Amino acid sequence: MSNSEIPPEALVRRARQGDTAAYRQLLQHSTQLLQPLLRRTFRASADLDDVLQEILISVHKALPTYDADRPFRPWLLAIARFRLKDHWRKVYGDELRYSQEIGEAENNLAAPVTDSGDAHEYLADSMRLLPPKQAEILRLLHEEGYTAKEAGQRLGMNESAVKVAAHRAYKWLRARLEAP
Amino acid sequence: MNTIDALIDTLATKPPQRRLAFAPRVALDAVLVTAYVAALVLFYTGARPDLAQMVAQPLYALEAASLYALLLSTMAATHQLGYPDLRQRRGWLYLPFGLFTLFAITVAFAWLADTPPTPPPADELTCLVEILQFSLLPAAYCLFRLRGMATTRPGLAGATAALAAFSAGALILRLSEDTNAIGHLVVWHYLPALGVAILGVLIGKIGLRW
Repeated sequence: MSNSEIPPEALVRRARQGDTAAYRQLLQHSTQLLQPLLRRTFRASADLDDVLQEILISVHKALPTYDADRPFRPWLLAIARFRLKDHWRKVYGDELRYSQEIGEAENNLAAPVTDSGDAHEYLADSMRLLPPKQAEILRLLHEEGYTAKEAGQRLGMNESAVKVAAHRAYKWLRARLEAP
Repeated sequence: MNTIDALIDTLATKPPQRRLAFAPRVALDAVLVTAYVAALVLFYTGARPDLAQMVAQPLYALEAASLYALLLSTMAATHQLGYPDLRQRRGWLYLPFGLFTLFAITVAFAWLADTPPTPPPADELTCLVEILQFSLLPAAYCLFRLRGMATTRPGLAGATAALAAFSAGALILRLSEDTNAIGHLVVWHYLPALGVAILGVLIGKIGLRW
């Protein structure tokens, strides 16, 4: 049996005997299992990495509660769900904490609400969350002044693929900027 | 190397070698703590003088037995909740509901049979205070054990721990207090369990996070 075929239950048993390689393999196996599931939930890779790290640390803390005679996956997913809920609770808790009363908002209506400096900074921050390819396309098109065709030649893509990628990036940025 | 790989490298240097005790053993420890409190209380205050006669009465025996079964099942459910996946035996969580139904039916029959109604004791509040006192040690023990586990339902775990401890207190008082006023028992011995469960949810949500 090759190393990659060792079931996680056996890896836990080995890890409990102090086998660091088996434990590393268990954590990698857990990561491989969780990444596709988390990718469905998070668009931004920074959030995904944060939650995945939280889950791995929780797995490390909770490992004594795992009974290696039972399947590993339900145990891992129970922890993942718990940490995911925690994450959303924190996100929505912060949104509520920093939300503004409608009465307070009225006081600010006379002032310019679209400060271009802030918007530019926010846009730059948001661009960092884009997939690297899309971010590079936007940079070439808008900072370097390339045409879609030239950007495509530079990145080894055809013109229409560049336009599609740019369109997706604009759509995502628009949704992010318009989000309350 | 990305942050996930770096984290795996760090964690992999120290694989956790500890393993929790066999799950029913953990619950049994809590039952033993409760038995210790019961023995201590009964040693100092003494059992009710008519205990031998009362045990011979089916409704009293069934009430005490179902309360004891409720105590055992809530203790088991509490410790099951300490495992993230409930040890993949979710059924244990439903057992207290079944036993609570049996207990409630028994109390309802006892209430119907209490004619004319037995007068309640003079100081009714003392009963509740005593139950809470008797519950303190079992509750503290259950919560302490849960802190060392990894519950993914902290509110529910807190509530079952509080209910288990409260049912222990109620059972101890039922064995030591000389009263059969069922109205008093329902209002001052059993209904406060609802408030205690809500308190348990709050304690669990704050104290059992990890």
